[in-house]
Amino acid sequence: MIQVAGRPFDAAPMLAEYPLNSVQHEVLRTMDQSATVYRFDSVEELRFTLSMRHKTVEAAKLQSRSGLRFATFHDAFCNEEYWERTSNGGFQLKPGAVPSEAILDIFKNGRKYGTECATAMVIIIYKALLEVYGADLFNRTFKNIYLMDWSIRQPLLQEIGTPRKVPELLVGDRAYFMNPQVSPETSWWRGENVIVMLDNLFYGHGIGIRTAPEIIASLNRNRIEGATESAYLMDTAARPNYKKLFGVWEKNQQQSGPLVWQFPETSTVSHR
Amino acid sequence: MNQSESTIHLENIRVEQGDEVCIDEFRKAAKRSRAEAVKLLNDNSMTFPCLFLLMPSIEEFRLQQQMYTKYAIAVEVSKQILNENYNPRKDYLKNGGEKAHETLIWMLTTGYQENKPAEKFQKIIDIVVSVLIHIYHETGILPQVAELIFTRRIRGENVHELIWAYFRSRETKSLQFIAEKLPSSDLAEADFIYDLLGISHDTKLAPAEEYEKYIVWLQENENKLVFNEENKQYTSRPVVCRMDQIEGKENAT
Repeated sequence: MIQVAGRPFDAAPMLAEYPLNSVQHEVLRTMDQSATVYRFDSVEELRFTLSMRHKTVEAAKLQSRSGLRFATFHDAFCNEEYWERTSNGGFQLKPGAVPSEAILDIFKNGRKYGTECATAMVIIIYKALLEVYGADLFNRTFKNIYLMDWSIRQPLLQEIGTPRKVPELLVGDRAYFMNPQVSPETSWWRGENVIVMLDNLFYGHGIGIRTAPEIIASLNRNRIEGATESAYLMDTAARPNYKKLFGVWEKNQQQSGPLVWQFPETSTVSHR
Repeated sequence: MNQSESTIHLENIRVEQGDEVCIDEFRKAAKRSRAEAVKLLNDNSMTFPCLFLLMPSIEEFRLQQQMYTKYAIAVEVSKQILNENYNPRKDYLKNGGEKAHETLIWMLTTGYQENKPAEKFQKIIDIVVSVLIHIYHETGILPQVAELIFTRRIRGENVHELIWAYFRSRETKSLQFIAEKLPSSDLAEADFIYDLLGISHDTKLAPAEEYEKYIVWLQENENKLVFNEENKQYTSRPVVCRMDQIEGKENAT
C-alpha cells in the first residue's frame, strides 16, 4: 500500500504512465500490492524515488559492461587522473577533479579500476544520483567523494551502508548474499553485495547479472572443505534515504526557477 | 662481505641496513656459491619479512628445495596466495598438517610487527591469519592479531579482512583483547574500539571507566554471547555478536 501525504494513494494512473516491465512500473506495483505501507510526503517524492531506482538499475547494467575489475582492497587500483588510491585500498577524489567526471570515468574506463563488491555498489548509487540530479547539483552536493566499501563519509548517503530487515525486496535495492562457510583462503567470497534487478535477477560486481541460484552457486564454490551450509540471500536491504535526497533535489529546483517535476527517464511533467 | 660467514644474519642486515643491502648481500653470496646462500637462508633467526623480501632471489637461484622445510613451505604458501594461477606442490592452506600449522604461526609471529609492509605482504598475512583461525582453530594468535589491527589502523591501512577473520574465532577473548586497548586509547581510537565491540558508549565515562564497565559485563555474560556473520563488506556498522535472546542480560551500555 502507498500513502502520499498521509492518505491512501491510487497508483493506477501512475502505473499507466510507465511501460510494463519498467523499473518504475515494477516498483510501484510491488509497493501498491504490499501489506507494508510505503509513505511519501508528495507525489513528486514518489516519482523521485522511482526515478532513482530506475537509474540505479541502469547504472548496474552499465557497470556490468564497463570492464571494472574485481580486486580485493590490497590489490585495488584506480585511474589516478581523477582518484587517489588510499593506503587502505579506497579511492579518494583528487583535489581539483570534477566529481561528476570522476564518477563517469569509472563507467567509461572501467579497466583502469579494480575494487570489491561493496565499493562497486556505492559507485552505482553515485552514478544514479548523477543521472537524477544532473551534473551541476551533483557536483555541488558531493564535492568530496571517498569510495571504500561502506565507510561512507557523505552524510546524505549513510543509509546505504546499513541494511535493515525488509518485508520484500524492491527493484533497485542493495541486497546481500551471505556465505557463512566461506573458504578462509578466499575470504572476499564471504558474501556478495547486489543490486536487485528486474525479472528476479541480481547484479553483483565480479559475478555479473545473474539469478539468485547462480549467485549462490558461485559463492558455494568458494566454501571451506566439508561445508554443510549453503550461501543464501538475506532478508535485508539497504536503501538510500530517498526522502533526504529528494529534499536536496527539491530545494535546488525551487532556487533555480519554475517548478518543473521532470526526471530524466520520463516525459511526464507535472506542475505543483 | 666484511663479516665472517658464520656471524652473518640476513635479518640483522635487513633491520640495520635496509632492504636493498640485505638483498644485495644475499645475491652476492648466491653468485659466489649456492651452498653459502642456502646457509644464509637456513638461519634460525630468519623472519618471514626477510624471507618475503628475498623471495624473487630465492626463485632466481632456485634455492627453495634446499631450504629448511618451514621456510620452503612459507615460500610456497606466499606464491599460492599471490598468484591465483599458481599450482602448489601441496595445498598447505587447505590442510597441511602440523608442519604447515607451525609455519603459518611462524609467518605471523615474525611478521606482524613489520614496520612498513608491502601491500602483498599484508595480503599474505591476512590469509595466514584467516587460515590459522578457520582451519587450525588457532586462538593463541588473537593477541597478535589484535595488535596488528590497531597498528594497521593507525597507519591508515586495510583492516577489514583481519577484523573479519579475528571475530570468526567466535571467542569472547577476542572481545577482551580489543577492550583492553580502551584505558590507553585516545578519543579517535576509543571510537574505533567502541565500533569493533558494537557498543554505544556512555559519553560521561572516560575510556578507562568504560573498559571496567565492559569487562564486568563481559564476565557476567560471556557464555551467552552469540557471534554472527556481520562484517564490513555487508554493513558500515557490523555488530559481531549479540546476546542470546533468552539467557542474556541487557547490553553493557
